[in-house]
Amino acid sequence: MGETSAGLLMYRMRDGRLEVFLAHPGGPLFEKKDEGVWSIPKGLVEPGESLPAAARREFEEETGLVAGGETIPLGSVKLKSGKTVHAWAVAGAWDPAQGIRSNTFEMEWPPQSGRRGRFPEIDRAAFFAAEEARRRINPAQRAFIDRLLMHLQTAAGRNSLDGALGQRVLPDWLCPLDHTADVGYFLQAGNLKELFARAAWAMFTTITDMATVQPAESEPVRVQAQDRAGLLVAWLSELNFRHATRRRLYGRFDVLKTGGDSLEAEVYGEAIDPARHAIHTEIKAVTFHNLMVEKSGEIWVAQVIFDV
Amino acid sequence: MSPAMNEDSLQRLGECLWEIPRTGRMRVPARIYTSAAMLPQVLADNAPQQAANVACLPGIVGAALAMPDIHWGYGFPIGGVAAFDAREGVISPGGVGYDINCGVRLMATRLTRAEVKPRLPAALKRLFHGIPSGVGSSGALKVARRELEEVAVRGAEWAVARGFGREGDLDHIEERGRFAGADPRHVSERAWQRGLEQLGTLGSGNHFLEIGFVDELYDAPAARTMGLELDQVTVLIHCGSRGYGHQICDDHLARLDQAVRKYDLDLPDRQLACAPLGSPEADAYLAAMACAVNYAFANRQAIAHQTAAALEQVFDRNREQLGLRTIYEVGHNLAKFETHIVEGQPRKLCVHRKGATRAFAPGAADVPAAYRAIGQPVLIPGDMGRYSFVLTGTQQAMTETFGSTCHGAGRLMSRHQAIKMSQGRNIAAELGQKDILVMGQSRRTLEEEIPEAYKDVASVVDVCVGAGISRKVARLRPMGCIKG
Repeated sequence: MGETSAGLLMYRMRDGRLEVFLAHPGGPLFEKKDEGVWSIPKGLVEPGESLPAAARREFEEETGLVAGGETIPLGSVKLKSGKTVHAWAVAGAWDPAQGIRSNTFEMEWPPQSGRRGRFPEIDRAAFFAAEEARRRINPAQRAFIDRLLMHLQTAAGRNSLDGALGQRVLPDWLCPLDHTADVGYFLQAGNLKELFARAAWAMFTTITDMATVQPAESEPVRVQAQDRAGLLVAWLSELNFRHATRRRLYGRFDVLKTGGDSLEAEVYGEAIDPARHAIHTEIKAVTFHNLMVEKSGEIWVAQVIFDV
Repeated sequence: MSPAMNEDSLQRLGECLWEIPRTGRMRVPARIYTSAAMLPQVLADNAPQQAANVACLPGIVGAALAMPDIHWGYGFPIGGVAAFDAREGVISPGGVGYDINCGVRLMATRLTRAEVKPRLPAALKRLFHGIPSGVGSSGALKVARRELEEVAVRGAEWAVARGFGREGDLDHIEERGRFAGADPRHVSERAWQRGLEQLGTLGSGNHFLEIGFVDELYDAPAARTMGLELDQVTVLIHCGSRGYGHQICDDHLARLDQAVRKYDLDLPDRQLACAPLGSPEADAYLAAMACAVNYAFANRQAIAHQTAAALEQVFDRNREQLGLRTIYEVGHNLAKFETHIVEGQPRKLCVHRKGATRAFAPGAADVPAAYRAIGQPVLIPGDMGRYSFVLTGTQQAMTETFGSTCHGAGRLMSRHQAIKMSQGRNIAAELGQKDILVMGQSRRTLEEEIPEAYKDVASVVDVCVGAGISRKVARLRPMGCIKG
């Protein structure tokens, strides 16, 4: 236990979407495994070596690629094995035609056969869209992708995100996910109540200009669902339903209670006034597509996609 | 699952057709209609994998098909066609989509482009104010809950009975505007609530009403049969079943998610939630779906009527003098029971078309009598700056695609990207320079819908024509457009 390793999360913007570069571990043990086993290219820090230097060296050894450019610190995570992984993000390019060139390791295979085989540390690698990468990466390393998304969202990172926000200035806890036909968001908060409140804000900022909505009258909302992710859908669907049938817009969301399966809130808003409110987009449905609500390190993160 | 589909995963079957061969859990291959030029774009998306996933569903017949406007959807790709055996197959709300029976109506006038041009701003303004876009705008039809149930059962027929349009309109609507099997008991209270507010409304996003003109003819005899000629002014309406249909999809997706466990269906993706045809869950969805199909038919009929009323006022002529008539109306988000010849035998199938249009061949019984000799008209809208197409179905479509073809241009850019591209530009003014007048409820919508955000619909249509699953009849150019 207590081993320390370091690596790089290479990223690029493709058609306005964030994509990250992940590697699939080589060797017979991982040959048939896919979801949850991909990793950032990384390896053990050598004695006397600085963490960022180790991250670059390991990345190069495992992929044969040279990662230049500025790095963004992504902090560290602890793996199940007790190992600590430190990571930095770096913008980069790679073409599948280039392939990868990985160093190799030796192990006894088949087990107890007395024979030893040599296998590449990494047998394949690819760029994945952020949502897909979150599914494929080792769950403990997911926080790296989340942190990168949030970083790119903040003022410092806006240029890297290529201004995908258009004229709307979104708060730094909210990151639009670029889905070709629909609208999705990745968001974070310090606690679950705030996360749900922010998700509601994100939905209404899709529908209208939030600055025009007066939180004049309040009404209670209570919803239930089987699990947390289902609860997020139920909560947003309820607000969308009230918006459409009672012709209201909401601008403030006080989430009072959230259990794993129920939520109580007081929401504040007003009747739609066509003279003051523009309705930009109707939300057909809050989908279960790549839906996610979970704790990532010390923060809560959510991902939700609206069919518009 | 492979990390991503690439060209090596595909076999080329023809000039415009690629196949993902059957592997793993796939019961049939997946086939993608596209061109060598469009293929990299298709592969950049998750859509081919989604087509392969659909190929794993129980009772699927032939192949999981993807039209050239394929893009990433929920579970099923958009631009997908899948046919299931009526006895051994399944029904999936995801294979129909949220906007049940979203579709297109084409109307023709006797007016020429030159006659309309001077009055276009007035006409567009009248249409913009006469046809509400939806939530937040007033002017939706006021119907009582009981009457809405009638809408759900009778569709466009209800609208005509209420005085919106003519009996003759029904002859040129798919299913004559009334889909059988609708049962309001399977529709949730929430759906009724959403439906009450939105009948006669266009909706937001890619929905629109467009005044255009015929700018090119490719098949003169077919165009003549449809009554289309050069410079003639047309109206194209694109909208669907509004919040009513969205809610029905949402409700039944949740129920079928349970059914998957109950019937122990082995699915590669949870969003392919489905139920065996003939099961109570499948029947309930089909009955509710039919209600939404009819709501959409009634909605388009009502909007067409409003359009006619607006044009009558602006041009100070009645409908007959304007020569206003419905050429055809067809949906592109539907599941239908149809009989197709499979391996030489007629077989009853449940054909899912999600972002795909029915395109029946000449002679098919479901094609209106007036068009039986030329095949079913197919309406393919493009983006607001370029053009739309009128096609017909072919015999090859019957044999290869269960009588189906593409449905539109397909988005190229996300909405965020499109807005970003529009920064510092005035989209309405740009289109104005191209002689296209646009009115939108929101500036943001116009930016999301900029022409560059879409593929060139001509390239999509050319694949369908090249593959032999459609024939080109005419091209329409926009003159004016209202966006919800």
